[in-house]
Amino acid sequence: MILKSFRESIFPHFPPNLLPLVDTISNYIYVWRFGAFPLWYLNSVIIAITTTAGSVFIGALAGYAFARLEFKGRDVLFYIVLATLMIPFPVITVAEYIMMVDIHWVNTYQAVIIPSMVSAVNIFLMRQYFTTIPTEVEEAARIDGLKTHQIFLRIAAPLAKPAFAAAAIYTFLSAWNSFLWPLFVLQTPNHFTLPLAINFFKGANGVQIYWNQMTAAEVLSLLPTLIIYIVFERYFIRGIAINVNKG
Amino acid sequence: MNGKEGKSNTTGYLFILPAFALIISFMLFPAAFSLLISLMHYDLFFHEIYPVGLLNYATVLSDPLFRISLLHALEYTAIVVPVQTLLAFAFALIFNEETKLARITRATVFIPAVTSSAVMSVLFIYVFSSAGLLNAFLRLFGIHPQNWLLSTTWAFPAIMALNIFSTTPYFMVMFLASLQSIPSSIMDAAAIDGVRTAIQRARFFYVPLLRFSFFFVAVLGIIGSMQLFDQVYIMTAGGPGTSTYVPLMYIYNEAFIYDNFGVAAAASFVLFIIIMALTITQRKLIPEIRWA
Amino acid sequence: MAWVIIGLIIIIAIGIGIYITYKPTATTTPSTSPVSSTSSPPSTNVTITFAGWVSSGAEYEFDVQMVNEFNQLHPGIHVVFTPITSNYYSTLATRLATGTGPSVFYMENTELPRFAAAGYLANLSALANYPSYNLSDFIPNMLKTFYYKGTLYAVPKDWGVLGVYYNKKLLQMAGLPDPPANWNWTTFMYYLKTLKQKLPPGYYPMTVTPSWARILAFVHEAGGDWVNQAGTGTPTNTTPIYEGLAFWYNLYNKGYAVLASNLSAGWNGGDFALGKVAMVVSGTWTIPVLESNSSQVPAGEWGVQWLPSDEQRGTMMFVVGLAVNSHLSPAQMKAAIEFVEWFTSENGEYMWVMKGLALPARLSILHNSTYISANPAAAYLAEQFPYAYGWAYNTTNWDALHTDVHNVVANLFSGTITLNQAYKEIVNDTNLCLSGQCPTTG
Repeated sequence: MILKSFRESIFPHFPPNLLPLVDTISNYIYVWRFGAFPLWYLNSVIIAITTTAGSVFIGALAGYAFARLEFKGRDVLFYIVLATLMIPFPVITVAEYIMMVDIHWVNTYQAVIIPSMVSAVNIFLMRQYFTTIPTEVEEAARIDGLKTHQIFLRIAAPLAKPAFAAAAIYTFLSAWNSFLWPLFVLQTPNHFTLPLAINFFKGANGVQIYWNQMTAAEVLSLLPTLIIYIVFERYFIRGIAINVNKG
Repeated sequence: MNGKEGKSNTTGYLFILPAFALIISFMLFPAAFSLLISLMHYDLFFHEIYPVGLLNYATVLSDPLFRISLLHALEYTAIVVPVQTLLAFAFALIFNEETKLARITRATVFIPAVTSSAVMSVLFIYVFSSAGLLNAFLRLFGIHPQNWLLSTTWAFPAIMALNIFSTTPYFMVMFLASLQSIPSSIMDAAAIDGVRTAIQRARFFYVPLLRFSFFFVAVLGIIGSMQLFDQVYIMTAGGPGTSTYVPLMYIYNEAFIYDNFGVAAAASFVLFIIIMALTITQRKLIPEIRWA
Repeated sequence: MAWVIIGLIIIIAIGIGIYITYKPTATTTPSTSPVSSTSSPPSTNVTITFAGWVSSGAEYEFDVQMVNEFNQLHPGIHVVFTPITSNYYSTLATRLATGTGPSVFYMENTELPRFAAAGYLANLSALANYPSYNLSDFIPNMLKTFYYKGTLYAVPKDWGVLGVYYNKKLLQMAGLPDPPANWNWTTFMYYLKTLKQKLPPGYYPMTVTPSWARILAFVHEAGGDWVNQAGTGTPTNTTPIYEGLAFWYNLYNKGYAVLASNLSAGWNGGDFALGKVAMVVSGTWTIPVLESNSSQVPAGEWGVQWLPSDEQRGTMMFVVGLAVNSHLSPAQMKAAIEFVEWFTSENGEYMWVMKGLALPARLSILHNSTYISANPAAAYLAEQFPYAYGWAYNTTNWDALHTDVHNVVANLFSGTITLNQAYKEIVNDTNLCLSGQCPTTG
């Protein structure tokens, strides 16, 4: 109940049945020592970080292009990006799995990382953000002779730190909690990620749930995302960050 | 949106190349494959695969269950998206400070967004039950306790409430990020000009300047709401009766329980087209809404 | 500069990922599948995979231990454990259908016809060739359910059975003795009525769940069945279906039982372990929960009894078996059968059931005095086996059928339909589903 009330801190909660602290800690210890829990944790961390780094970068490039560069078919291509979000998952997941079988990527890390390295949400987010940055500085830079990629790297991107932070949070969250795809693709326990492992604490008959262990595992699991959120949020709460008028 | 002329065509394409390489390989190919499947009777398990033309689409469109699910999705979207957008915006405004209290509140508010939806759903089955937290809370107001998920009137609103609770903080992040792009000099000048109250600030500055974020949050909200699945699957499986039945339940059932991949694919594409239509419509409407 | 760093991080992270994938440990999947069998397994001849769901941490650890032991005892074979942690059957089906399926896997008799009909299961009659295996040691009405069209496609690994758990303290409060083995529906109702009268507030006579799997026990007790022998529809006399349904539903409807989801554990056994419920119908999987630290009902304060009878005795048994993938190379097939033989032999099964998490399917173990004294409650409930009905209906349309009926029951309990409507719908839908035309009522 402590853990549940931790979760419902927005709801007023009523004096819960306070478990002795020892009991609670023993659940965490049990979960941590269970199976290969540290390895699963590590897998999740590696996969989430790699996916996030790649996706934010690729998303920023594409977002900037859609926001600031002109090229034929730009709007149509942007809608294609958005469209990828609109396809319901069941059939496409199976289709993608069949693809993985064909290219021999079943049970590999790259099967989980690489397809997620492009995120339509990120591209969309970046585009929206880049549109709001005043163009005077970029124009000045272009007059000064900078090439587009330099403008992007040296001027636009630093101004978009809040967007990068938000994108990082979103991607990390999505990669960390990703469940169905890893369930299909990752088969040996050494490759498992945390969401798969948390199911070990749920009875298979769909009814029985080992609450103590499951909540302990879930709390451990939500720590990294929370940390990422806290670390990155200062990029957008740091007062008013933009110096538009720097010469 | 200003652009550059001339040779940025190539630069543009280069910039989007990595993204599109991945999109084409890992999203468009499977999507095309799925489109093919929608034209076939596709039972991978029994290896019964043969083309059936548009039969699947006819089945889907004439199925009253699918129509009910669409209605529910639209109803859900119409209610949840505005509420969570406004709430996210409000939270972002309120919590946009550097004080310790604000940081802690933001982090706490963000927890529901961070918890996996599977675990949230399981937790909330209990919260919504007759002896659960919600009833304990409502009892303070003299409201008679009941099991919310077993009621045909309240199960769907319960799921709406749960989702608003968990996705509002998610979108709050976007608004917080874009509030940063408003230079303080503008706000100071406005204050001098006599814009003092919060509502005036919101109306004349935040909303117009943030309209790109509004678009982002609203579009993602629509796309996500139309594809509601996890909570329904875990908490009510479409019931009681068909009161919480949504399109993704239909698609999931057809794919994994009835082994009708072709029908599932057809339903997926019908839903896709509807979502696309909604998004395009919304795009046309938003720029015209002036908060004046 | 920051970009250089980020780029490096990406490269390093990818590098680590690739390294972990390709480093030489036994994390490969077998050559049954077109999976990149990337690293070289230790010098063994044959690699096979073993998959199951994991119903508890203890089961996971046991399976891992069994796999390790088997690997040590059989140097020519290497088994890799590849548990499927959720959506077991649909994930298994997708893997099998794409040629990436495990070699040995858990299989229940509800799904067996479907997988066998699609040709994914291997004929296990070779097991009879192992002299010490002794197929006749298995509970007969249990082994029977693993045959499809005359061929044996899986062998029982363990099972669970339904029984009644009662809280002695609460029963005493109501002045009731422990229930007798030969109690019937009338006695059962008498117990509930007395409990309802005499228990103080905050304590419940019983909890129920809207589960067809429980109602079926009562259908059998009412002297009938849900599906006829041939698996083509309901039996001609469907009154027992009504009687079973009515009995269970009225427990809730007339206020003798509350819904299990009302209490914090959310399921019958879990709620019973909270100490607030006098009786529940639950399976033998509740026993480990009652014996664990988090149970509020200490040892000696709870007891088990057979389900009450009506026209006859009846209860439900849920059996899990092991099956072998039919698409294996001859060497793999041989290895797989070795593994199944070892896992479900008297020795293997004994080790597993002595953990107290599931019942033995072998009569020799069931009647073994060490087993009985270590697991008295489980052994006692298991003795219902002559009256136990397997969850086996000889249909390839199980998922659709069960989902449909389950939804009808859920609707009944949430008040959207009446008892009579539910009854008619169940009979109607069952007949439709079994002839291949399940109405998609969601």
